[in-house]
Amino acid sequence: MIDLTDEQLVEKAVGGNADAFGEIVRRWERKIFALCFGMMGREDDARDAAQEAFIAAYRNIKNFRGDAKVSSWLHRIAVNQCLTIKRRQKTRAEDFLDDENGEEDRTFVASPLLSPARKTEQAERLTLVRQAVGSLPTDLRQVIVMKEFEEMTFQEISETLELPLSTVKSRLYTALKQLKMKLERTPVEVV
Amino acid sequence: MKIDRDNCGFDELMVAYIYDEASSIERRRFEGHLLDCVRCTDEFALLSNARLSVFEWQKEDFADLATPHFEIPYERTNTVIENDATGWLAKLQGVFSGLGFPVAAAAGVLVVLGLGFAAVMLLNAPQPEIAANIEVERPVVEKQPIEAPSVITAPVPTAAPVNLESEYEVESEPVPAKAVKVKRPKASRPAVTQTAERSVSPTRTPKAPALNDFEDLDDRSLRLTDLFEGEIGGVY
Repeated sequence: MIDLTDEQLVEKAVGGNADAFGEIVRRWERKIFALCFGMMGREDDARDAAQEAFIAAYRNIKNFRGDAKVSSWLHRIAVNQCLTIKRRQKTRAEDFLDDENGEEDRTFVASPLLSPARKTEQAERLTLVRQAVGSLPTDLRQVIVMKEFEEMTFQEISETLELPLSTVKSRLYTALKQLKMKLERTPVEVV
Repeated sequence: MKIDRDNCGFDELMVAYIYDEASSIERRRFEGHLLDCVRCTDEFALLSNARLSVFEWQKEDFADLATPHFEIPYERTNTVIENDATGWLAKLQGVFSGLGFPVAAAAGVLVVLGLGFAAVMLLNAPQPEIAANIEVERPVVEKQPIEAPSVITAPVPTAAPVNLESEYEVESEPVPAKAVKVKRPKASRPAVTQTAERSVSPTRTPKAPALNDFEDLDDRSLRLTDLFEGEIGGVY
C-alpha cells in the first residue's frame, strides 16, 4: 500500500478499500492540516476543518476525476471546508465551539497525543526546521522571528525595521517559500 | 535560491491572509480567487505548511519556556525612609490612641514644651568653631640671623644695650602655627579652605625676634655698640 501512487490509492478507495483511503489520509493529513491552519489561524479550528475535509473527500471520492492531482483535489476540498466553517462560525457569532462529542469522530487526523513513531517524526521535523530557519539569510530570518516568535504585526515589523509594509510582506513570503523548498529537499521519512 | 511567483500576484496578500492580517475585503477577494485557481491553492497550501513547521517549532521549543525574572537592584533609600516615617507615626498614633484623651493631651503638651525647650537651648548654645576638622601642623622654625632695626632717632650717649623685645612683642603668647593642613575630601569647596587658612594665618601672630635668640659669637649684624665706637655720633 505504501508503494502505490496517490492515484492508485484513489482507485482502490473508489473500489471500497478503506485502507487505501487511510493511506491517503496518512500521506496528506499534515499538509491539509497546515492548509487549514493557514486558512483558519487556530489549531483547533484547523483540526476540525481538516477532519471535515477528509470526510468530504471520502464521501465524494467517486467524483474524483483523474485530470487533476490528488493533492490539488484535496486542497480544494479543504479550502471549501474552511470557508464553510468560517461562514458557519460567522452566523453563529461564536469564534470557537468546543464540541466534546466530536472528539470521538476524529479518526482521520492525527491527534495531539502522538504515537512514539510520530513523536520521532515530529522531533526530526523540528530539527530540520531549526536548520532551515538558521540557514535563511539574515533579513528573511529576521522577519520570520519577529512574526512567529515575537508575534509582531506587519505594521510593527515595518516600523521596527523601517521598511515599507509591502517589503515586510514580500520578505515573509520569500522566507516561507525558501523554508518550504529547504524542507522539501530533506523530507522526513515517516516510520 | 530562485523563487517563482506564479501566484497571480497574490504573494503579499497570501502572507497577510495566512497571518490573519488581511482586511475583510482582501480576504473575500483572496478566498474567491482560491476557489477558482488551483495553482494558488497549491501555493497557499505549501506556504501554510512552511508556516506550520515554524509555528510548531516555536510552540515546541519556546512557548513553554518560562520568562526569567530579572531583579534589578534599584536604590530604595527614599522608600525606606518613607516606610520608617510611616511606621514611626503609626506607632505614635497607636500609643496615643490607647490612652484616654486627657492623658494624650497632657503628653502632647509635654512633647511641645520639650521641643520648645530644646529649641531655646540650641539657639543659646555657643557655636562651635568650624575648624573642628582642621589639624594644625607645628612648623619647624629655623634660627636665622636677624638684622637690627635701621631706624634710630637719636644717638644714645651710653653703650648700654637696649631691650627691643618690648617694641616687637605683639602678643604675650606666640602662636607657632605656620602651615595649615585641612582634612577635606577632594571635592571640598576652596573657599572654606581659604577661610581656614586666613583664620590661622601666621602673619597675624608674628613672633618678634628677641635679642637673646642667637649667640653673640655668631651674630655679625650691626649693633648699637658698633655705631658708637670711637667718637659719639661718628657715623651720623
